[in-house]
Amino acid sequence: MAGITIDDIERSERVRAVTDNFFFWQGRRFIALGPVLIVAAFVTNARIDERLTKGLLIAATVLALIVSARIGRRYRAEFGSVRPIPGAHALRSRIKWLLVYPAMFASLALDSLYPQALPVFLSGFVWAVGLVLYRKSTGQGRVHYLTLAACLAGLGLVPLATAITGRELVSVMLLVLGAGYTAAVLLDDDEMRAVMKGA
Amino acid sequence: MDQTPFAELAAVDRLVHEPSRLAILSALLACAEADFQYLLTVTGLTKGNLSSHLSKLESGGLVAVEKGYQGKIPWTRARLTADGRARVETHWRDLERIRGNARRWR
Repeated sequence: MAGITIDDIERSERVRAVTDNFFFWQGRRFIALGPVLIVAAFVTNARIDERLTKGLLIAATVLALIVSARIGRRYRAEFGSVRPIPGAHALRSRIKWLLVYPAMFASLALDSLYPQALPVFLSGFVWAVGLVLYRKSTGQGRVHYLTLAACLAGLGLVPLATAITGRELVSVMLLVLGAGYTAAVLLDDDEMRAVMKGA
Repeated sequence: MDQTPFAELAAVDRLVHEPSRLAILSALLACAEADFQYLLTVTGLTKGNLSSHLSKLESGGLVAVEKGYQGKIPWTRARLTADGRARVETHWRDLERIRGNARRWR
């Protein structure tokens, strides 16, 4: 018997979780999304031409996709590649596209269009739940997502204590999310390296 | 008298139950197939040791290894066979049970 320990078992369990969700753990792949959210926070708040706003957002998104593809190639060269099991996450995809994303965008629309409808900033709570579900469904670990979710949930309570409306909080949330997400994906990368390299 | 968790560990599938092979098989259990580079990274083994473990697993019928060339660059990919997947899944269920027992035993 080659001296296997409970630590070996736990490490293998983490390897399994990371391999199962390898795409999502390649944090730097998504790093450009943080700045895109920050740009979105500024352009939705600034009084600039609507066409220019859309143009800026589209340009930032295209740039983010190009950066993501290039970084993905670097990850493949460094870590190798895995082919996922077809249909292994069908339920996760259904919940994500049919429930979580629509709820996130509906809350954002409600807070933007009817800021007085609720005494709280609904998007803060809904997006926090979205982040928690993202972490849970993509292999746990990465406790920084819980910190970020707590910040968003905290924003949800701001209208109770101040005169700031939900509409104003949308750009604050995008800013917090953009900065927090940028930090989170760098931490994802660190944690993935620690799991992969046996730390 | 009930077996201790340590005695239970000694009775499990020895081909699977070796730290490096468990890491290889755990990675393969979570995907359809993985390339040699990926398995090198997750195990931290040398190329020679990884090849040796993959050969043992292939001989034991747990893993299928495919080799080829893309242009002049060689590639190696590994995947669990149907029997291998069933055995590794059973092994993981056993490990989870043993770990649960070990926690109670402490």
